[in-house]
Amino acid sequence: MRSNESLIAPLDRYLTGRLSEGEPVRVTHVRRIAVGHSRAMFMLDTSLGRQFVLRMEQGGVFGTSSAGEVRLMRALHTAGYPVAPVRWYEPDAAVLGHPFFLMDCIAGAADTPSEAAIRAYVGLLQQQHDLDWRAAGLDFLGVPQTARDGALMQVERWYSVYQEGAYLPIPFLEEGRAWLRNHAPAAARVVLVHGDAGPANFMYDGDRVTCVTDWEFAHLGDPIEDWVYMATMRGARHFPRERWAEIFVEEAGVSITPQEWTFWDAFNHFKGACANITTLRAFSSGANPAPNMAAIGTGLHLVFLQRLAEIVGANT
Amino acid sequence: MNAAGYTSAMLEDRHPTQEELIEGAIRTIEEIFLPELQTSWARASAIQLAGLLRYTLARQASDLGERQDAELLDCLRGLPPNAVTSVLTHRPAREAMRAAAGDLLARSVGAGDELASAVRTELRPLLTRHTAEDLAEAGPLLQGFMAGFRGVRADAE
Repeated sequence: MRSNESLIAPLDRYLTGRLSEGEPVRVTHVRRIAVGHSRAMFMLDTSLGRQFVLRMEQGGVFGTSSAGEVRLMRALHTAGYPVAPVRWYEPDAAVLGHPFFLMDCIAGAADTPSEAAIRAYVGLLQQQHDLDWRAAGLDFLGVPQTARDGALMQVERWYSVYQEGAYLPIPFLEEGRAWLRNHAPAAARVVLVHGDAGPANFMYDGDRVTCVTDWEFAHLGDPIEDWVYMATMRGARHFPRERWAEIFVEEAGVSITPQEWTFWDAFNHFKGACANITTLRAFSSGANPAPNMAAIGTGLHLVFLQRLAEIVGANT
Repeated sequence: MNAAGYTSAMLEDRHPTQEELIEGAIRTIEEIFLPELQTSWARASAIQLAGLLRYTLARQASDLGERQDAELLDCLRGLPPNAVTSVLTHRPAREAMRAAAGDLLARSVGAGDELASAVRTELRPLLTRHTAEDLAEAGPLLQGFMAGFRGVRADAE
């Protein structure tokens, strides 16, 4: 952990070398953008009048890395999809303590979108799913080889995150993995999946979406994963599931079967439980001793685990 | 009062207990730090830190781990003979028992044999109860986390 002010001097040096021709650049203000847990996010004002957003890793939380996220965001920007332009990616932890990247600050709010803005985002998500990911050079994300691979690859991805991060075996995650492997649906198509889709992960200005954010969980897979995630996770405090289902039909022509709802609901809780356990190791090892890390790695992990067990138990 | 003029209260050689120290830290955070913090992230962290300390108090008073270990071992020993529990030692470590429980749950998915049935009727309910107990114990930590999170979101709105 470090204070906002401690970032200024190294950022001054970093930006001077990259933003100006010899003239020193000063970071005049640093403000942490709160809410996010997997990445530390900061808004930077500079002496050149430009604003940037700093997105910094936090000691292996959630098992994701910036390199893939940066490569994806740059490809999406080139393809014309609304994402913030990434200016610099720094993998060397010596600069700020963790790998990070800097992107342009895009105007807009994130927390309380109107229904119209949400509907606009739903339309954009469908566009994202319709993106020609091969033409955009996104094969590096890993291409599912069979119709069920879209689900199976993600189950194994998060299972390995849990195995690497957990201090003890977690019986309900072992059961969850077996159940998910038994019930994995065949995807109708392979698309770019955001992996954390929904309100708070897009910026808006009025009813218009200005950019889509937080791409660290993105991968190639089944589009239904994103729709169910939005309805049952990020979007749960905005609308009930039934209303989301109507919006998906109205704005994207997407219908979800009961089996798909059940599977992806179970998967999302499995993924959440696996991801959250990594914060406990980050906390206990001292890599990130912030109290939210302890809370996510224990309490929030258990919330996800309990719900996963309920879904599996009700569908056995 | 004794001959030297000290009362019994003054004679009590007492250091603060761990509970008193932690409760003092919680009150310092909530009553002194929190009102002075300006940014939403700092306030959220302070609220969550107080929740973490309350969780520490709850953990100190708890024997949950030992009891759950004993219950899990009893349950595993009571299942029909199987290749998983047969390799457990007389006093298996927590890790070994949890690995065995996970293995049995996974093997029972979609299975209809006697062992799978016993796992579903005996082991699974026990682990469900244990999860609920762990979640209840983590309540202060989770409540602190959610309170901090709500405060940050309110500021953003």
